[in-house]
Parts: sequence; structure tokens; C-alpha cells
Amino acid sequence: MKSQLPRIDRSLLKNAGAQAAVERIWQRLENDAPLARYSRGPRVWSIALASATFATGLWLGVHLNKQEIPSAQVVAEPASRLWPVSGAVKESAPVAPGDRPAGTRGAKRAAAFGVSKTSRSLPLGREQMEVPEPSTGPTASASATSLGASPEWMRLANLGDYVSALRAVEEEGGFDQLLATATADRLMAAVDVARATGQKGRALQALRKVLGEFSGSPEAPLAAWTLGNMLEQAGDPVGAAAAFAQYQRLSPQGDFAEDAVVRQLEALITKGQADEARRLAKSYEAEFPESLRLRELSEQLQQPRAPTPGAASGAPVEPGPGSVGGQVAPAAAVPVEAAAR
Amino acid sequence: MPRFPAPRGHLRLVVEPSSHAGGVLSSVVAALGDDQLVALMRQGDAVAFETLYRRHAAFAINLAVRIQGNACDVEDIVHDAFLKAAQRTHALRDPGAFRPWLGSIVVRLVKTRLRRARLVNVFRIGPSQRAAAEVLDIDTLVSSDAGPEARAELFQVYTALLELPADERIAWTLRYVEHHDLQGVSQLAECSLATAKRRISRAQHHLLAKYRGPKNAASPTVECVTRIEEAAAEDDPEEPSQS
Repeated sequence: MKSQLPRIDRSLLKNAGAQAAVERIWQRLENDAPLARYSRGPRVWSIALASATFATGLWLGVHLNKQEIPSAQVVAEPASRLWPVSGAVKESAPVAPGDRPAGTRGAKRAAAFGVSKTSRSLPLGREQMEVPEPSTGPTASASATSLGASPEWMRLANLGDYVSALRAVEEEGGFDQLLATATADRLMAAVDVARATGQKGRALQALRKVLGEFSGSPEAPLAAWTLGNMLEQAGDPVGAAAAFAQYQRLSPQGDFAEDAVVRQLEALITKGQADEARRLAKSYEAEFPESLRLRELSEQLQQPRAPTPGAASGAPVEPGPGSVGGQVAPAAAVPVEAAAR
Repeated sequence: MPRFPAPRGHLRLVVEPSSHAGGVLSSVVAALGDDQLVALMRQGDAVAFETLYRRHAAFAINLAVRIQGNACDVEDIVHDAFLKAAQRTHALRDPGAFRPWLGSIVVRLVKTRLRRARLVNVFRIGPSQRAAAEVLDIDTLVSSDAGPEARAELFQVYTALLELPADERIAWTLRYVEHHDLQGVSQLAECSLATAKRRISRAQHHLLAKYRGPKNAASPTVECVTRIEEAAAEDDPEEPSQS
């Protein structure tokens, strides 16, 4: 079992802002202030320095990332054009004298990436022509997407400009491609974009993908929490309770651990599962004895409540989560259960 | 006498601080809220700036130290932060939010330093020559009143924090060391709320994986000595054994 992180109380930390330090900085500020007046305009040296830094970065990028170039070719060209029909090539592509032999590094790399070195010399011999079918466009671009630098839509999402991020996602192949190829971190960013732009179905899809395929990732607890919130808002207390329970399993000491139990309890009360709610309330009381919600929850538990019709019959939640007869429907349960593994 | 430049490039000296009237005025100014002080500062009032500085300097210093994990160049950072704040007061939309605004400037400056330090370490010359911003100084962080167990725990946490990217490290520190709420974290780190949550979540995951618990915590002193010895050995691998 993982250890719980210690609570870092402020009384444990030293006050580094001692009077002496404050005075020292103030002395400097007083002395430097007149200089600052003259340093506000555009400065030639800073522009020159920025240009030099950019040029150095460009040079380093070009020289350090030479091996990435073949994958870029795969993305840029359709597979059919990069890979001619093998029979025709066998006849029309004699190995030119002096061309690189099949066993050389360049040829091996070309074979590994499934592309010819260039279209001008047709240097590939029979050995390379018999390499199995090259990867198709989408798969190749998928690997490039997942391995590449942070895309534009992600940058925009991090800044909170979700409308522009959505536009960028569409320009970069759309949500479906993104969902098929993105890492957990990018999926969570996609969730934010989808939620902020009103595409709840997409957001749910992305959350389920995180919980299903990246259940061990740091994003999984947040995905479970967000899924619970969304399902609750969509009128699916069963799915929401399952998601909150999932959050607790994934992150028992997380930021929302206490809230997750409360939300799960509320969901159970809403759907009329009083016995289960009482059992959970007992463990909640033991775990969070100083909680301010205890009294409120116990009052709610004492009031008999009829199950919510939507909850009992399985309120349809776009694009498929729901409950059937008080049980989590497969569409909602599968990713949550999978995440528990 | 403070010589603080006004944003428009002129200096308006309000009063001589050493005079009796100045003392009275200073005490009046000290009672003003941040929004009123910012308004005065925009008119080039040096006393208002000094009052704001003295009110928030300790916050800025502590913020920088706790994010960095040491006090290296923190005075430079805070100095630069106040200088930037003075020059860009007109960019502050809500004058009452001077403190979080100043905090975001401090965070940005610390982040720049952390990233630069990481870059230096990527091309670093040797393990013993780590960039100063990447070195943990537990004595600067922990109060002398804290017990050895608390020191050991904090040492573990901060050691794991040093391994994180600057953004995640900053978000987690703001949340769990500085105890800001999520909205505050996103404001100080200048990112969206969702991004702040993601960064905290990733950092938390990393720390939970690294944290060994109080019982397994080695003494920070022992770990420090071990590291220093390892660094020394790597510095001079051919030094003959004394035995």
C-alpha cells in the first residue's frame, strides 16, 4: 500500500522573508529604480540575443533530431505513392551501380520505416521490396502524432482558449483521430476542450478511454472524478456513483477523496439504495470523523426516499452510459471496471 | 528617500519620509487597501510603492523559496518581480488583486530559472556542478522548530519534487505547500483551471510513487552526506585510496 503524503503545515516551514532580506531588496530597488526608467524601450542587444538563441536552437534541433526525419516523410506522403507495386518495381528498378547496398544503414532504416530513400534513384534492391505491407497513412500519422511535440490545439487548451483549440483539433484530423491516438495527458486536454465547447459526448468518450486504456496513468483519477461529475449532471446517479467509487480506488488520498465519498453517498441516496448508503456512511464517518457533511448526510439517510425514476430505469446518458435495474450498464461499467484492474 | 520611477517616466515625490508630516502620511498610507495603493502608485507615489513592497515582500520571498527548494538568487527574483510590477502597474486590471498578480510574476520568474537550470543540467559538466536552482536546501525550507521526522518527510517530498517538470512542481507546491485553492493555483501559474488540475494530479501521482513514508525516511543529513560523497567520488575518480 502506498504511503500517504504528509500534510505540509505552514508552521513547519521557515519564514524566509525575514526583515533583513526585505530591507536588502528594498535598498536595491531604491538604487535600481532610476536605471529602470531608461531600460523600458526596445533594446537592440536583447533582439540580437533572441535571434542568436533562436538560431542556436534551430541548429541544435536540426542536428539532434536527424533520425526523426523518416517518420515525417511517412506522415507527409500517402502510402500508395511511397510504395510502388512490388512487381512493377522489381522489373523497373535495377540497382544502380554504386548505389548503396541493401545491408547499409540507410537501406535498413528505409526498410524499417517502410519507405524508399528517395524517389530519384530507386536504390532499393529485391530484399527491401519484399518487406511486408507498409504502414497505412492513419497509423503512420498516429505514431507521429503521439510521439511528436505538443500540438497547437494542446497549447491553446492549456491557455484556456478552447474554441480555438477545437478549431485546431478539427484542422489536425478531428476528434476521432485524436481519440484513437492521443496519450492520457492529451486525452484529458481533449476532455477540457470538448466540455468547454459543449461536446459532452466526446468528453465522455475521451474519459472512458483514459479509464479503460490508461488506468495506471496519473490522469486516471481526475478522469474518474470528471466522469462522475458529468454523469451526475446528466442524471445518471448509478454511473456517477461507480465513477466516484473508481476515483476513491485510484486515488484514496487525492484532492477530492472526501468529496468523492460524499458524492457517491448522495448518488446512492438518490437512487434509493439506503442499505448500501448506510454502509458507506459508516466507513466515511470512520475515515473522516471531522467532516462537516456528516450531520447533513445522516439526516438525508434518515429520510426515506423513493428511488429516482431515471436512476432506477436507467437514464439514457449520451453517448451510452446508464443503469439497468440498479446495476451499472455495460457501456458505463466496462471502462470503470477495466480501470480497476 | 525612495526614488521610485512613475510608469510614465516621471517621478512625483509626495513627501519627505523623514519629516514629521511624512511619518504621519506614511502611517495613513499604510492603512490603505491594496487597490488604493495601486491607484496611488500609478500616479508615481513612492510611499505607496514602498508600502505595497513591505506588505507583500515576505509573501514573495517565501513563495520563491518554497517553489525552488532553496534560497539561491531569491532576492534577485523578488527584486525583479517588484521592478516589473512597478513598470507594469497599468497592466493590472483589478487593483485589489495586487498580491496574486505579484505572485504570478514571481512564479513566472522562478519557472524561467528552473527551466534554465534544467537545461544547464542537461548539458551539465558533472553531477557535482548542478545548477544552483536545482539543489535542495532543506535548512532554508524547514523551520528550526520542526522535529526530525517532519524534516525527513519534507526532505523526501522535495527530493521527489525536484524530479518533476517545472510546471507540475510549481502547481503542486502552490496547492499543497502554499495551500492555495485550485483557482488560486491556476491564477498564480497563469494557466486554465483544468490545466492546473492536470498538473497537480500528475505531480501527486509521482510523489505518491516516490514517497516512502515517515518510517522509511532516511535522515536528510545522512542522505545529503551520501550525495556529497558520491559527487566528490565522481569528481575525482582516480584519486588513490588512503587506506
